[in-house]
Amino acid sequence: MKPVLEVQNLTKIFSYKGQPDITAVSDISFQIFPGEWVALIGESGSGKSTIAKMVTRLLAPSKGSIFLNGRDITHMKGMQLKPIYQKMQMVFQTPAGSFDPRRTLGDGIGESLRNSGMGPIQTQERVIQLLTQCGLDGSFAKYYPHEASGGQCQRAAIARALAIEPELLICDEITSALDVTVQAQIMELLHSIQKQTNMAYLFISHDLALVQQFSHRILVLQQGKLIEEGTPDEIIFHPKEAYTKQFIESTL
Amino acid sequence: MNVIHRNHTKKKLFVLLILAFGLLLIAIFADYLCPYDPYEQNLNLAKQPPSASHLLGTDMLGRDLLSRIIIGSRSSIFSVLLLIGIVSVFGTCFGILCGWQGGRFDSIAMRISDLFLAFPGLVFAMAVAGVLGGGLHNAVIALAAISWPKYARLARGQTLAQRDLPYLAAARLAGCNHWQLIFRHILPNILGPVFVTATLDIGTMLMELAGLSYLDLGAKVPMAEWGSMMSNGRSMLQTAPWIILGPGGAIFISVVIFNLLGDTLRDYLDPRQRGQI
Repeated sequence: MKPVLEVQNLTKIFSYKGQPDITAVSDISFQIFPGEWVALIGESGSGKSTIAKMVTRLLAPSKGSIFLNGRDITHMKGMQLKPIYQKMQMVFQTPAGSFDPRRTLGDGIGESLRNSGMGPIQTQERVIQLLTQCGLDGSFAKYYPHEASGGQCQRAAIARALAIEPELLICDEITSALDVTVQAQIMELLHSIQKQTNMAYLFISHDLALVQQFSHRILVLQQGKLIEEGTPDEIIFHPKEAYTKQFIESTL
Repeated sequence: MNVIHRNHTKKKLFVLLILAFGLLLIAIFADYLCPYDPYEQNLNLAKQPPSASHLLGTDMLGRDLLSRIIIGSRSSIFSVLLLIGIVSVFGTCFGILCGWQGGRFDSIAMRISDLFLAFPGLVFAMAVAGVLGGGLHNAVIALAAISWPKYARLARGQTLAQRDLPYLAAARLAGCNHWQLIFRHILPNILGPVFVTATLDIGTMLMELAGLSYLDLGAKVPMAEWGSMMSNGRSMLQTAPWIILGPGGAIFISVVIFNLLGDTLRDYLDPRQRGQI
């Protein structure tokens, strides 16, 4: 089976004038296969979100390569990425902040559909269908981000990411701004979507308890380096690295 | 409490919009509203104090001041609106481009705008008006030359603040190109502060244009323009004060209306007040 996403020796170095370089991500390599739920865990500042931004090409890598379905997307820019974004989507950490405050949720969800040439009536129908799929009433399409709760916005953000039926979904700490009950609901929603669509997930979190139940594989990140990789059982019950043990003790 | 405040702001905005619209209507229909010909001289009626036949009196050439103030609203208000339109559109486009593009282009473009900001405003306008010659058009050009950097700075700052927000990253992932990101997302989100600044600037520009006209660098005689009317009557402040008080009062009222409108609009567009109705 071919991987949906393959990352080879990915490195990100931030350079600032008059200051030493900061290596946020160092020589990371991993693969994600169709239908796989891969969790990327690590403490704050370990480089998780930087990896997500590089994979989605919102940030240019300093070194290394990114392959999506075998195609090298490392150096793609601007509109070259448009077809890539039809195969890969991302859900952000801030539920309301990921929607334009002056546009309705429906408008945000339908944007990728309109940009790929879908007519207004079909877009509207598809938006309502997506909202329903994500457990929201169709009337939420008319809501502005500030009129919906964090959980509702995050469901709408998932609906937006699903709109063009991507093969890979990157979830960047999507539950960290939500309370425990809503977190569980969102995880269940993602789980049911994966069962229906066989979509691959790169699930970024610092909450090990949250990811252990659903993920197939866990990658542990420390100060920009991938230090351990394994199934949830391997990572939680037989951690090899001292840092992983510490991390487990602090979060479980 | 917020609901009461919001309703109060709405009422205030409604009243001020009516007043501002009224001023515009006066300027548009000035020809039909003047009780006398504003340019007709009658030395027998020179320097008449306000009376029933001439409500605001007459000037040193016997022209009816009320008629001149009404017809003067056209040149004063329309030139200011034209001026604000030019500087806000140009400055905002320039600023968005700098903020969006960043890097060396932004640095060079901003240093150019700094050049304009480095000069004392009215002195630079006087120099430009002095080089190009007097006249209302040249005064508008002179003020435009010194006013656009403010809008460029504002739009650039706002664009920089928006550029890295998650909703723009989401829009990129939705397949938006640069122009769609700018016109569909950034522009609507930064337009509020720009619009409020423009409204507040109407009053300031009205004063500055009147100032240039007062210094004989704006409207030329016999054109009725509030600043030049004050300038022409300045020697008669002690003997016939109504000649200067009439146009001065018109400037004062217009400036107050547009400034209050800008302030109220700022309150109304404040995102923290949204959803409180």
